Amino acid sequence: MNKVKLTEEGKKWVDDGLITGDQLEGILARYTRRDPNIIIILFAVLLTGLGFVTFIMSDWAQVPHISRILIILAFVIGLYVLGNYLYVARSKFLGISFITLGYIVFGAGLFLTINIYQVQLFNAWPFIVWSFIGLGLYFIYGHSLLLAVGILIATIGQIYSGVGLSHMDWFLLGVLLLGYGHFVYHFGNKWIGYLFSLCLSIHLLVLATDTAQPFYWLVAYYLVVYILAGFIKKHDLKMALTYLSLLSAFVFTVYQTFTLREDFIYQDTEKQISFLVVWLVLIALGLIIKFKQKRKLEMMDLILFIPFFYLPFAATMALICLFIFSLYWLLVGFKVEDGERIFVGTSAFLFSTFTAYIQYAWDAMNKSLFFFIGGLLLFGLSYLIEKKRRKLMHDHKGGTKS
Amino acid sequence: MKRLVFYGILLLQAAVILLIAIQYQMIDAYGETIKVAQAKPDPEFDYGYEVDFTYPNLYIDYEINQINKEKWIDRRPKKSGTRVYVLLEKQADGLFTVVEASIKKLVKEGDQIMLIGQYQYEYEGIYIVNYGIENINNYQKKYSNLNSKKRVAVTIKVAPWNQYKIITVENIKQ
Repeated sequence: MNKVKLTEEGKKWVDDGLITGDQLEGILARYTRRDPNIIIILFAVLLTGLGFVTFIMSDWAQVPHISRILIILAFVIGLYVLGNYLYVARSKFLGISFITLGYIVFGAGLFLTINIYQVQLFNAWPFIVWSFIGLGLYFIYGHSLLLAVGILIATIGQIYSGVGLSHMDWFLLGVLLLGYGHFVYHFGNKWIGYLFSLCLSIHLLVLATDTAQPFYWLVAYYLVVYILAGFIKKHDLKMALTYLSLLSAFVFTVYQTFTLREDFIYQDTEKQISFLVVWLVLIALGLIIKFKQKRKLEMMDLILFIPFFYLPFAATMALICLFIFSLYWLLVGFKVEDGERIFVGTSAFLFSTFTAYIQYAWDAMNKSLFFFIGGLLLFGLSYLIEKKRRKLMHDHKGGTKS
Repeated sequence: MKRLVFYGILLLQAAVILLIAIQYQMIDAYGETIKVAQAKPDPEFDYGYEVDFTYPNLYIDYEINQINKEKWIDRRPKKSGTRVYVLLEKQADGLFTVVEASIKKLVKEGDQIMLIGQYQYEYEGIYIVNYGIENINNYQKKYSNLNSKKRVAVTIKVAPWNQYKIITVENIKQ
């Protein structure tokens, strides 16, 4: 609830005699108003950063002369020093913004230098240096903006390595896991946790597209993340990693419902025994852990981590598993009355339905019918949820009366 | 401690950028000069040499970008992006051409020159390798007086640490 709304509501509570005026002030004092200036400064950093990055592509900057390099270096150091001064003497956030700006301009300048001096890149070393420096900056200032920017740069570097150089960079994954992972674990908030998990998923995707191994290894990587997330003590990070590994596995399963229909996949890809061994060990580990931790309800999550490639009717099996997963989450959500679970289950169910539609009904069925049935399904679902909600309300009221 | 890290980071950033620039200046002293020709156009199509020298960025296809499958020693590269080693030798007309190529380091003999390139793709037995000399900076319109209908050759200084410096681009006889 924002502060304005809280003040309005609070006045009503005072009028109703629920709380006294002093208590209301005490409550309001707990919610410090968020500085609206922060958003403005954030956008200012974003725009100026983009300005620098585009400026570097300009005619002026492309001339290979040492003067260009010195001017850019002066800018970088100037921004850092100014940021540090502001951080110490004036506003902390303003200081961090300038330091972030200096950090972005450094990266842009590094790539400009590499470009105008024609250095051939065989690996993503500029990104390794760049994200490593981000670690140092976070160590000094401990601000989550720096953490977020650093994680993003490590991931952009990984994508560059995968797309531009066709291989996965182990150093960048190391910096992400050991460096940023350490800080995220100890100091990260909820959003940083989700960003970190998303970026980890992307790194693993690049690892799986590295041509050295078949694509289905991706399932094993996400399974490892899912299992390890179960051991993490920090609740926010644990949830972030669990949800994101499930989401990644879900998206990958949707992808497989399309690709495993094609014959060429089976011709070009070999079925490795080593994968099967690794996978069996992992899935057994997952089941044992769930059993020991008394989280038997979550065992069904593992259905998303099945390597469908090894099964007959792979694409159909993948689709069925999507439905089982979604319905199971919905049902468990209703049973334990967990709104978050119901939401996840509903969204997953909708996506599964659309996936099925696109594959089975797109050509055969009239397009209008596609939307029609989709809409009806939603109506049905909302009716079910509403019915459940009313029942819950009813039970609750009954409980308080008696 | 944090103060020291701050200065360390500043220094590291300056050092990385300056090192690249200084290395580039040192190419003049330590580099070896080679002259390589533009690739001949495919005779099946009548496109001619397609480089517009008025653009700020030139892209030149070299003869040494195309390595025939017989030139490869041991195994040929399979994965796009693989690092490959290419030996060049000077011909009678002063141009350098590919002698042999490999995915392992090669030993150069006499006045041969070894380039490190990146394998791109294979097409009808021709392996395409890029070296990072294909993009030429023409922001100052240095080469705008060249005739784009005629073949060009590029003189390049190659440093032992695999950095290049474009010296000149000039028209040559076909």
